[in-house]
Amino acid sequence: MDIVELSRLQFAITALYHFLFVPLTLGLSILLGIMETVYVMTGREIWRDMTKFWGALFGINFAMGVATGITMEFQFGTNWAYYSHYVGDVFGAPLAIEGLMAFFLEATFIGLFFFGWNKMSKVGHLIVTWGMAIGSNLSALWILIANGWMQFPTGAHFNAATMRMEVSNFMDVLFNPVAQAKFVHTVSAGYVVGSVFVLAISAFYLLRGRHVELARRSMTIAASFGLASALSVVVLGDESGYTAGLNQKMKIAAVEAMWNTEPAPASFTVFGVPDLKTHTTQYEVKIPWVLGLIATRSADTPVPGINQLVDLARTRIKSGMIAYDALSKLKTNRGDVAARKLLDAHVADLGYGLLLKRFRPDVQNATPQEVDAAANSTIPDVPVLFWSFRFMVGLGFYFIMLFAVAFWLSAKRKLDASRTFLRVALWTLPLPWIAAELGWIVAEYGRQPWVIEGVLPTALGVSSTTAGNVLFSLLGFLVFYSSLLIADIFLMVKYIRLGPDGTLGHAVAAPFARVPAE
Amino acid sequence: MTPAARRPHFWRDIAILLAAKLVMLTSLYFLFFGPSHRPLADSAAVSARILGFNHR
Repeated sequence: MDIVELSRLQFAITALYHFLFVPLTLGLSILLGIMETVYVMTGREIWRDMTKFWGALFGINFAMGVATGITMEFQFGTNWAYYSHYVGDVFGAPLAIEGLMAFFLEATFIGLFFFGWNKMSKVGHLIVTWGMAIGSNLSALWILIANGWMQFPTGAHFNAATMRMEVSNFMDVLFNPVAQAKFVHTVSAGYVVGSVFVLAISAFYLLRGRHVELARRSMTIAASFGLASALSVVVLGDESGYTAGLNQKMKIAAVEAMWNTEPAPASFTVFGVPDLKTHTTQYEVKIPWVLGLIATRSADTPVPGINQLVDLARTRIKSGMIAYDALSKLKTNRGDVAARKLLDAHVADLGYGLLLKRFRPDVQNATPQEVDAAANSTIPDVPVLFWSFRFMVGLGFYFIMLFAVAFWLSAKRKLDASRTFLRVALWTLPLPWIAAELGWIVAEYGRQPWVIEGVLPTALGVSSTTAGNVLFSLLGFLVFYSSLLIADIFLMVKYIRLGPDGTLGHAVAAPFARVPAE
Repeated sequence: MTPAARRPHFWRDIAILLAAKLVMLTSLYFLFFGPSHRPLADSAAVSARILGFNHR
């Protein structure tokens, strides 16, 4: 593996590890807010104990997860130095704001949540809990604004003097439609993770006949919130796909293994075996119209196929070669007016010209064969995207069914009547994490070969460091994150087995027994 | 062990793990990501990388 692949692998592993902790924080924080709201509204002690118990598990996850994202920022400076310079002016601002949100706003509320129970009024503590939940979610917003800009770089322009992208309209960066769609889709996926977590652990207690009142109430909350969240994930995922269809056509075509443009409205491939070498999909099972309606929201707009998008990339690469040549001339003679004009006319395609750097150093002299090779390099790994997306969507619909059944059983007050359902709920525990990770694989792997879509190829963002350094730091990260994951699972299992008695510091069985049926 | 006696262990566990995490993160930083490992990336370096020459 070369330095580019190692750096990508390292970033991908740290991001995927980090995202094991994040969605549970997002989902559980909202669930804690709901539980404590019921406590404040009803005054029933069981809801306070529920908030404290699930809050303890939230605390373990938060303690293990906090700062696991900071290692990605280590990498920006060391492994991705050119990327950091090229887009740091845009990318750095939301990251800095996220740091302030996470380390000051969110951390302050989390401290008050844990240590403020006996020092604040009920309503005061409730405000803190919701502050913690909102703070966590706002952190995600800023990260996704940064990430959304990588998918759809708006509100910025290239400055030839500084050789970097610079912000021209921060509002465009902030209200980037891709970022907004990704934010709501991602946080609602986090809510599903939190809901499945509560549902599964509660099912565990009901199967064991322990903490029955706490488990029933927790399942009721998780079922209703989870159902709303799972439905939202699908609806908002559709919105995310629609915005990607507008701005990242190659990603959508690759996800659908759609090699050639079909007459509108395009059909959706439910099953198939995409072949990257022959540009075909074997054993296709298609549903007419569905892709066209989802991706374009119209019956007469075609969805461009991969081969047609490669043709478009070829045209843009040729335009990018002109931009590259003009930039080279401008850097040697700042007063070259003709070069300035040419660069301004073709600067939108400069990134496409830079794709040729993989094939030759003097981009402006590329041969037609090299242009073809660069154009073909814009195709991401179709089979990985095709299957990741289908597994993610399949799991999304499974969660809707699971929560719908849980909601129905809860409404009938029969949550602990079906041991089969409880077992299914328990064994569902790892699935929302798998779905969330698959979502990131679709989003980030589907962006390749770009680190910033259409602006900077991934290979050019990597530092001139040594592969050995990246390899050893990668091993260091693997040890670090694996240790954290083992510690997280160990502590979670330990305190789940202990149950509320072990985390609240008092036996809850007796008080729960006194609570009349609601 | 009474439930009340277990409670301090929760915070002890969290504190130990946070301390261990801090040590590991700091070690990773100084071993691989400290200032000495960070390559220079200014406009001249990016020019050299992208255009193949340094305009400085």
